Amino acid sequence: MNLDKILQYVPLSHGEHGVDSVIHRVINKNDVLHEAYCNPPGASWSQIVIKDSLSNKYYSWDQIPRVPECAKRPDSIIQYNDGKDIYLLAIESKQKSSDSYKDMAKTLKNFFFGSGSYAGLFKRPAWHYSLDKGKSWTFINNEQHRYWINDKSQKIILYTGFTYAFNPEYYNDLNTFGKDKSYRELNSLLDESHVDFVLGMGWYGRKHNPFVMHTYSDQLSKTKFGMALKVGFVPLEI
Amino acid sequence: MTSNPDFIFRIYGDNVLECELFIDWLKQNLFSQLKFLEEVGPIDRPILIFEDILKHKILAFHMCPFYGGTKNSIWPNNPLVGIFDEKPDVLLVQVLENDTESKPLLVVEFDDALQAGNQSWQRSKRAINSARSQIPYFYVLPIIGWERDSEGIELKSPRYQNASITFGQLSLSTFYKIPSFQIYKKTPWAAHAKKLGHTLPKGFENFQGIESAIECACYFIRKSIYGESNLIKPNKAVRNIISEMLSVGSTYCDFSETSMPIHKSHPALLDTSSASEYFSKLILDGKNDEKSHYRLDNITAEYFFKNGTTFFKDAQTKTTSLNFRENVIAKLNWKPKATRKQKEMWLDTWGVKIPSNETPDTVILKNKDKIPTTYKEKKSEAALINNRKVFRQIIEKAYPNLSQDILDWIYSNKKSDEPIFFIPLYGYKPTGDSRPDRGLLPALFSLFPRLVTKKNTFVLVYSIHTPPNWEKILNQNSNELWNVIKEFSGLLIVDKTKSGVLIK
Repeated sequence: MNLDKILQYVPLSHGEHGVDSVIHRVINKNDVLHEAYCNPPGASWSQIVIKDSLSNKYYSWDQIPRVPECAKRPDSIIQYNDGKDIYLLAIESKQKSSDSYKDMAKTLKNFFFGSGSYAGLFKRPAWHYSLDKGKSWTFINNEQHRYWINDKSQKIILYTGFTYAFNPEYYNDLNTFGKDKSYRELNSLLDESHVDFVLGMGWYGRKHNPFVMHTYSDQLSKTKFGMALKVGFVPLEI
Repeated sequence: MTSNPDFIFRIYGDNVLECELFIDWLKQNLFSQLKFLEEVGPIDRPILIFEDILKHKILAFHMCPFYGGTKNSIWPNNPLVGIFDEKPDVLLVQVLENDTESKPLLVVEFDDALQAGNQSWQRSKRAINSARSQIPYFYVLPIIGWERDSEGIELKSPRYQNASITFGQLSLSTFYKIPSFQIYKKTPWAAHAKKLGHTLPKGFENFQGIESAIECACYFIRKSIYGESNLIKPNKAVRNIISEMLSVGSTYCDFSETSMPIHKSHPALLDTSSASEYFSKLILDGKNDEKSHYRLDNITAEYFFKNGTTFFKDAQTKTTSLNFRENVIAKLNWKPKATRKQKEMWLDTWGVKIPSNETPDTVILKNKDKIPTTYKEKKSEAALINNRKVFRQIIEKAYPNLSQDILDWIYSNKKSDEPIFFIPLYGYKPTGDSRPDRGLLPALFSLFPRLVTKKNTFVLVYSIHTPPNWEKILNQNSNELWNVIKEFSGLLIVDKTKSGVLIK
């Protein structure tokens, strides 16, 4: 049986699901980045797992109640630790660029820090920790320990991002893709949505190989986290 | 790139995470006997190449995530068609020489959270769809969960397995002679529950369901390509899974709100070791006639009446009609706290007389075949009713405009020799949502496949929120609640419109 032929069995469309799949797979193949959360369309709520920069333990939040309108549960959370600092990138993923919205950065941040009567993730208990990246978990008996993330000895730097599929999302010939126009769109979305990271994605060729274009805010771009993200997506750049 | 493989499979997954969970199974080479070689193709839809250590062949698994719903698959092929009404998490097919696909080889459901209460009915339809098409079905779920407060900040109480779903899958396994397995996943909540003294299945810490499931899944993959005669059957792994299911079932069938008298006294639970051995042979060999009394799917009406209990169905005043409460459910519900006079009247309705030296409570135990009897103590969802004549009178009085053929379906002099399996189905919440009730009929069929027959199953939909145009929805075949009613029942009556229909 011919593998090349099998790889030409491709989806009729990719959309938000395709975007989420690529990001998930890229992050998980990267040794310095940690995927704290991934919730592609069709997935049921599982857990958010954040790595403590001090103890290197992984902490799990395995239940988050319904989120009110003032907050938005991200589709993906990517983590990078540098010394005591925990860097997080909360990503909103959509099918197309026009699905972006003005309050994106604010509502994503509210998910973590809360707003009004809504207690954000950081005000909620983490119930379990793991020393082996989730292979086995231990229940946290100490109530104070469950709120480890509020420990002032470490700093949390939260960035937000928006990812989407280009329109059209598929290019038989990649030369027909409007690179300059798409780059302008990415930067425009970065400004309008007040996020720190925008990534557009498309697919090309008979096997529908994914390709990406991405842009960063000045704040994220100059950090080691920003560099790690850029390096992670290099293989998919055009 | 590796030279072309000998066999190619597609892993259709609800999303990329589900595909990866199945790949993780294959990568556990101690149990899969597959050696991972490499990954090729686009990063979001790769092909993973393995060597089959047992047969020295190359197997390729193509990840096909987000295979969409039953109507809108994003992939050119839709492996659900003609088999599944709902989409399982992971479904495996083989790519055949002519570029077509085999029927699904196996299905796996990965559940991170234990479903609460009646929510656990929801996967029953997928289990039935699989079993009917001879597709092995593996439902992976945590051994125990934990309830929180509405904000998710405070812990409340443990969330236990629903034994009726466990028994339902065991029953499907032997009824269709194909695995319909629950696989219990380790969770840190179990250690916490143990520490606090909560009930857990005996030996849960040594459960090896996942490892056994991997072995079984790989057996069914190999069976599809090499043929059964060229393989050693995974008897030990199947026995292990069944033994763990029986352990879970026996732990939670006599527990809190889920006491199940028919099942807790069943021979399969009294001798789980022999029952596991028997089930394993029956499922893998397709026959084993020696000890059929172990089969949970073999529960007959006689056994049901002998071991069942009196029926009680809770009906809320806010969501049900007075007619339903007073003229239907009150006539079927046995109330242990009622006065002697009330009990005498209730028994009299069902044609049961009380000898002078006995009380209603002792008489009722000897006459379960004459009154509505159920499988679950306290609140229940269905009743087996032998006295069809009295039942017809009750229904006729409550719904006087029903047609003669509907009433004759319940009872007529010429037929009606088997008991009715009666299911009062709430159906619609005030929001219009029909979950989880759409899962009740499949769950009951799984439990009692020889009793929940179209010929004898009567569904009464009683929510006051039922749409008045229900008959139109029923005929459109596009609503899963009405679809399951149509599939499993022979008679449907809707309290809201006081009308009904016979279903062919």
